Amino acid sequence: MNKKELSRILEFGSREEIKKLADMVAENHTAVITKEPEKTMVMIQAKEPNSQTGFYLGEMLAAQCYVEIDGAKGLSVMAGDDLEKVKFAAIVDGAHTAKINEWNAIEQELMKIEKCRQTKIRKEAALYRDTQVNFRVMEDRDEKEISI
Amino acid sequence: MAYVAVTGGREAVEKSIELLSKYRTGGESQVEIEAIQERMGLLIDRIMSEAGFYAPEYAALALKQSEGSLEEAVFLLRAYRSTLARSWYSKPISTEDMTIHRRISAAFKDIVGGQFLGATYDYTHRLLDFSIMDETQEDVKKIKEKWQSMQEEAEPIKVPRVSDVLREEGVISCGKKEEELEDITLDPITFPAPRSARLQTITRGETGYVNGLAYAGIRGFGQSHPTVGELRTGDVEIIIDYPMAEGEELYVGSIVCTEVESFFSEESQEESQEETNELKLGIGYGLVFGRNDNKAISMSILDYILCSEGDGILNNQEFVLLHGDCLEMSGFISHLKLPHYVTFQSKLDRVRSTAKKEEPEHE
Repeated sequence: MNKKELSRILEFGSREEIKKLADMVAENHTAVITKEPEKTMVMIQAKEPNSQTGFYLGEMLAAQCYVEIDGAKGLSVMAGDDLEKVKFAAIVDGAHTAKINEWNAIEQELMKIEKCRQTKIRKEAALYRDTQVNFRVMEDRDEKEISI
Repeated sequence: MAYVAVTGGREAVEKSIELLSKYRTGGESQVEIEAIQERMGLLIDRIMSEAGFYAPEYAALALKQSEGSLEEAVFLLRAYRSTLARSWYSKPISTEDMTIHRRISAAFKDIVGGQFLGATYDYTHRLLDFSIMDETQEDVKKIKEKWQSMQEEAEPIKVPRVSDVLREEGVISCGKKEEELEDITLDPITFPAPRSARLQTITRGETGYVNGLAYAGIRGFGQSHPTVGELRTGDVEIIIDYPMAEGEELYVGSIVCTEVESFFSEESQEESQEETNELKLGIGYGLVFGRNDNKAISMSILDYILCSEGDGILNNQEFVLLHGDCLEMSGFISHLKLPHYVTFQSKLDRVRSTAKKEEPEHE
């Protein structure tokens, strides 16, 4: 599991779920908060696809926190302003960096959250797929001409 | 023109601000932030877009605080945004990997991946629905249960862009890539503005202004009538570099945005061996926060016009880009109602003196 996959799951999980994981880390390891949770912003970059010209779309509210677990650094930057959750997520990230012995058990919990995330995405997708539309042109036209 | 300060009125101002709370709390019902955020989603999207700040809960708070005034809500969000540090820059978002909620094309009826209407008011009868006038918690619960009980699952919709297919076919004129990446929130816009500054300005523009100018562009004050090649709305991931391990990335969250590519026919700028004027498709681009079809379409029209040569009013960058910021235009218009006693007195004196000089002629 890389950092991107981990942070996706942590962002999806509820505060309580992520706290439970952070508690699993804290049982045998000391979490040192090196930078207290705080609100911040992420500037979102975009690219116009035809010429690949970049531009800034706008900023996003986020929360961030830095920790150390057994000397290994952990970080979480998460959309929104949940300062508690971002702290728990940073602890889990630090445990991931530190490769603590309990990681396998934590990963199993993470996979349960990931399963819920996938289910939610797939259920939502089904709703959108139901709105697929097939327009018909009411003229005798060669179908190939108007397909792409 | 010099400005002259006025003093006094402190107590009245305090009472006036106090009186706002009476207006804000009118009626008996409580307005929950969650309800505004979840049920006024299109308004929230518009506020975030015009504020240039993606924070749905705070947009709802701003709306509650300002009695639903869009311009006040944008002002509040912009003001709050200015108190925060910008610690991160995302990697360029990948709209081709968007998880689609809605995707339509006015150019082709059959497109690779299909068209999905998503949730749209396009095909609704615009009739007031009196059945929801007295909607109860129980009614809402039933609707929610209906949606929650759906167990069907499907693959998320991820589809290539319509323009990619046409680009491969060679019928699209590839615009020139501009390396310059300006940020109008840090440096005031200067003219001629690079495309990055133009796109950033329009995406933050007031929705009505952007729509109005685009409409004027189509009616004859701009180049031509566009065809919406593709409009897509959906979730896009926000990714940043993980600073403590090279090659690693962090997922921050996702945003809902609407992207439009509009097609315009134009004479090819590329050299051709043949004498005939080769036609190609030019593209105008729109990308806005949230679900906002019209603003994204309008942005694509203005983008195309501003990329084109011409002496029309909409080709004038300064005109288009300096008058559409919600905060700036509302702020300037709003200041007109504040005391201008000295400047008006001066104006009145001049009028009176002219009138006196003219008096004998009237007798």
